[in-house]
Amino acid sequence: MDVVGGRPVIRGYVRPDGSVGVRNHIVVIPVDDLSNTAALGIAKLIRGVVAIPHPYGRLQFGKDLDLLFHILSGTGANPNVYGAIVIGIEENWANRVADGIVKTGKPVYAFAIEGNGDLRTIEIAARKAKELVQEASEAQRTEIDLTNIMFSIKCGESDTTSGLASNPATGYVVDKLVDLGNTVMFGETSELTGAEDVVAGRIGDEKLREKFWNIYHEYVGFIEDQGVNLLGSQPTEGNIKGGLTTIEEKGLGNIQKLGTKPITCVVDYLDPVPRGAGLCFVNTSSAAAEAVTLFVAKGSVLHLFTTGQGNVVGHPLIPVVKITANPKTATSMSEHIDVDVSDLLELKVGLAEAGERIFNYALRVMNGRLTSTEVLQHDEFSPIKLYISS
Amino acid sequence: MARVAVHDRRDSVGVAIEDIRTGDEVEAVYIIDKFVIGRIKALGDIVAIEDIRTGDEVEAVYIIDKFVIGRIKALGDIPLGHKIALKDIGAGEKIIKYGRPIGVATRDIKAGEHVHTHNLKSIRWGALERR
Repeated sequence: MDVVGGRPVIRGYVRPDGSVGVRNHIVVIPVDDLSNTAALGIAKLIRGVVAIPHPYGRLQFGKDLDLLFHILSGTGANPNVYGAIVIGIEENWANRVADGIVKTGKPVYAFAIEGNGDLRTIEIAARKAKELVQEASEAQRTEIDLTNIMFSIKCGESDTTSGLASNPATGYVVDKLVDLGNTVMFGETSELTGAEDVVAGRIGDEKLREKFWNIYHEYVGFIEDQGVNLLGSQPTEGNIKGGLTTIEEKGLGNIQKLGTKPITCVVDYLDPVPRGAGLCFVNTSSAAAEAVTLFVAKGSVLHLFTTGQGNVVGHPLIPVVKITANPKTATSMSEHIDVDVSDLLELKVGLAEAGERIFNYALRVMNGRLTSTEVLQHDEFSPIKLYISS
Repeated sequence: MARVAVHDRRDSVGVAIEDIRTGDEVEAVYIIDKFVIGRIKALGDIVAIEDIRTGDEVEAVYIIDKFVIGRIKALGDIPLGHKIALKDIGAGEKIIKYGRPIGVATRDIKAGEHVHTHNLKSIRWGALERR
């Protein structure tokens, strides 16, 4: 580990707004499902361009539409992105997404398909994308203190080994990152059930605590209003196979990765996460790709993901570091696992040793080492949709 | 000897950290030193309170045996990650893990039995099921 003056140092990309990225992508963002074909066409023509197709963006309205714009603009604004191309069927919405990105001072170009057709749009946009890729290829990594950088955490396909070992070890890393002045986002509103009072108890600010309870109760109320329960989906089949039995057990295991620091930030779907927020609760679904997608839209540049039974989720723009303490999963799904801490479960090493292993691996990834998700092309981009379109 | 890990001294279940077969002698091990530092503060408080009030035998075992709580015979196969009852648990009784209820027993469970979805259900979302 590189340390200058006692502080870990990484080599990252400083963006025009001062934010720090650990990757240097050119992204092509389709505003809507109809624009996926053109976006993918550009990515096929130009090496080094990442397209992020998704099934939404037409006839959404209200909060649901706001959330889509928040996610699309936020993804383009993420510090791991050097520059962005936005493609929409209509000009206005494409410009609206681009406007949300241009605030960061990075290059952004928006194109509309209507009146041009796919082929002309692809050609014009691909020419711009080519320029951007060449520009980006000259951006240099520079030495930066590991502080004021945004990260996120989530677990998936959890089992009891998550709560016993991989989550506590990740919690050790979270404490370290927060102590250094970084921001760490967590969410999974539904999967806090059984431990929601523990989370609330760690929120020092009374107003923020109230906001947390409102978000949590709104969610539980939503479930009850459906006249259904989540017993068929929570815990999941994979969770149960791994020994988890109830949402309470899952929730108590889940929060083991939150470390010990006070929670100093509580945000709803549409709120931005300010830099320097510290340990920050973000209202998210507990579905892996949806949660990671929202964290990235809020600025996370690296995600620590713990798994028991073997969740394979990744993201097109940020490295997702996969951690397991389940020795069977570490062997049977080895190509997906970046950090194996099963020796912690087997009581052969202590928490600090396992935590340092994750931390040091994360530093290497920040400095450029590719994660399994990046190499295996796990490019899940899954905006959350709140309700049916008009 | 096969081992199960226990989060908290109040827990009524332990988690197999290796595959366990019926009839295996199982050692229950506290993992406090290996375990989330987020709980150390809370555990400290709890230990202090219980020390003062009772200084009970389990605690003495915990200190003397360096984290070994006791031994139990497995009454069924317990796959890695699954739970074993550390004591007899009556139907309707809360099942404790992480020092907190994770659900209730849906029937009597003997010490050494596999504890899973067939004999344990959620308190929170089990209630919703009845609507």
